[in-house]
Amino acid sequence: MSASDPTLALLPPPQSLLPARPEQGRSLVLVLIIMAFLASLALLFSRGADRLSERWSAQLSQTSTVQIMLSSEYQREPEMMRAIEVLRETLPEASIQSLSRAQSGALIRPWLGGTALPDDLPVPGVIQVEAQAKLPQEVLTRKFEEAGLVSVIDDHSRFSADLKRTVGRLVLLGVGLVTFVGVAATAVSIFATRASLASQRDIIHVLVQAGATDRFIAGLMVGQAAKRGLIGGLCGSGLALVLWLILSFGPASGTVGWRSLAQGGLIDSGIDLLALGLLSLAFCAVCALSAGWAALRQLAFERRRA
Amino acid sequence: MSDPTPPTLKLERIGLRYGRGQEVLSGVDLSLEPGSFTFLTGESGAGKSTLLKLCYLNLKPSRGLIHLFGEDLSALKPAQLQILRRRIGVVLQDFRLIDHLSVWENVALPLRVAGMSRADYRPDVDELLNWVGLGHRMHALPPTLSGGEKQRCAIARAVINKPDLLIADEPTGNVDPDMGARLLRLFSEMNRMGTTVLIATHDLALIDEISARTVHLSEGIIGEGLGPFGAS
Repeated sequence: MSASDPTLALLPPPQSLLPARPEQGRSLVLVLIIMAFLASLALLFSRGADRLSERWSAQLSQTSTVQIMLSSEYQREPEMMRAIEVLRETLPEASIQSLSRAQSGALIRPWLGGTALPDDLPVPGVIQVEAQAKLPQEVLTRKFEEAGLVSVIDDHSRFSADLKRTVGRLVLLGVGLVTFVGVAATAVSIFATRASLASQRDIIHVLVQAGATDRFIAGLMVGQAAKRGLIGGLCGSGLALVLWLILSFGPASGTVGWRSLAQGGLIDSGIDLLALGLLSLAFCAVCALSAGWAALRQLAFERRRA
Repeated sequence: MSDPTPPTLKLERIGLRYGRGQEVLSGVDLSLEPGSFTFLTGESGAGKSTLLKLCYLNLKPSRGLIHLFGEDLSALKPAQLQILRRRIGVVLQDFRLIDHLSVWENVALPLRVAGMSRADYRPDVDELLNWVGLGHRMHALPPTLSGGEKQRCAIARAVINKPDLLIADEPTGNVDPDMGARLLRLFSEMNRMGTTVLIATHDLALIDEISARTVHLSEGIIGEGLGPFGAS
């Protein structure tokens, strides 16, 4: 009989052998949505923190500060001129900007308090250097020495390393949380499968009597769990995405700095969406696989007990 | 060398007890030859349903051997047992219909489980539903059926895949005499086509309809003939 047979159209499509909405179905999906929501948020925060760290690190690595320890305040101008000359010779492409005595003094005010600096106090000369490449510290120090200058060069690598280490821990925490939620989803799926097998014992009995193998019955459980997992994963990820967008682009984004955490250009946003999609699929796969495993084990156990 | 035509079902010295209780069945020997038609009688509580459960592989005996289609069941793996189950049609007293599936889907279940295509088995299901008088109820759900309709649906499900062995527990208990006779004709027809039939029943009129072997179960022990059950 061909599919175009008009009488075949009268028959409704095949019904699922297991009830579409068992008693615990809705609450179980709700639990899965919450877990997927938490996992998605952890993923988005991890990626956002990682992205922010890279941006800050890039900015830090491009900016360096050179301090010139002046021999006396009266030598500020010639010694600063010599220092700038050395920098321009060594880094012709770099942007070099020297701070005035007042600007330099403002930097040390937190340590000295509000009192005015004595006129003869040799406040170190500060020069900001922006360069694409990393500053050749040893070469510069030697050249400053040859020019009779005492210098301290800070390329902010210490802050950058601290930042990377902290963000690395945050990312690890995010990955741990996603893994933790994955383990919880597995446990929930196993529990739900056992409960489902118990509550649908009569149906399982009929299927067994009709010759259904364990794999066939487990396949039904896998289908049911996969559907639940996909709904939970997509809804949870969707909700997390909505919250992420509200935090990032909503009215409070500027004050708490969410915007800088979320924004990363089209490619990064695309990767975020892809990651959420993959997370939903992984969630679905975890639920399905654990349901299949639990069903096979439970059916084997029931048979041994019979 | 094995017997070329082994019995469809052979029980040897079967004993069954639940837990540590007394034996429900004790030293039961029963052999059903291929293509035979057998009635199983006995008083209520004699162990008929338990014996049938052993026959359709729902229970394992505490002792003794069961050979089904020439295979020693104790030597088979679970997946092999499932393949054997597909050759058995079972009609249970409580019907065991799946409530969320339509009558049509319930009847088609064994074929669906066997992996057949819907288009292939559809004519058979339609024809059988019309034969048992459920053609007009094919889209109904079991909770909306009468007891007799449920029974006919369960029988249709049991015979849809033309089983080699048909086991029925009081198959005409809930239908009127006319439908009972009609269902018995269905069983006879299947038997004529080679299906081995084992029917547990209290219905002496049903037994009188067909000249078939009758075995009697009393206090867990089996014997030929109607036994005291027929005399009472």
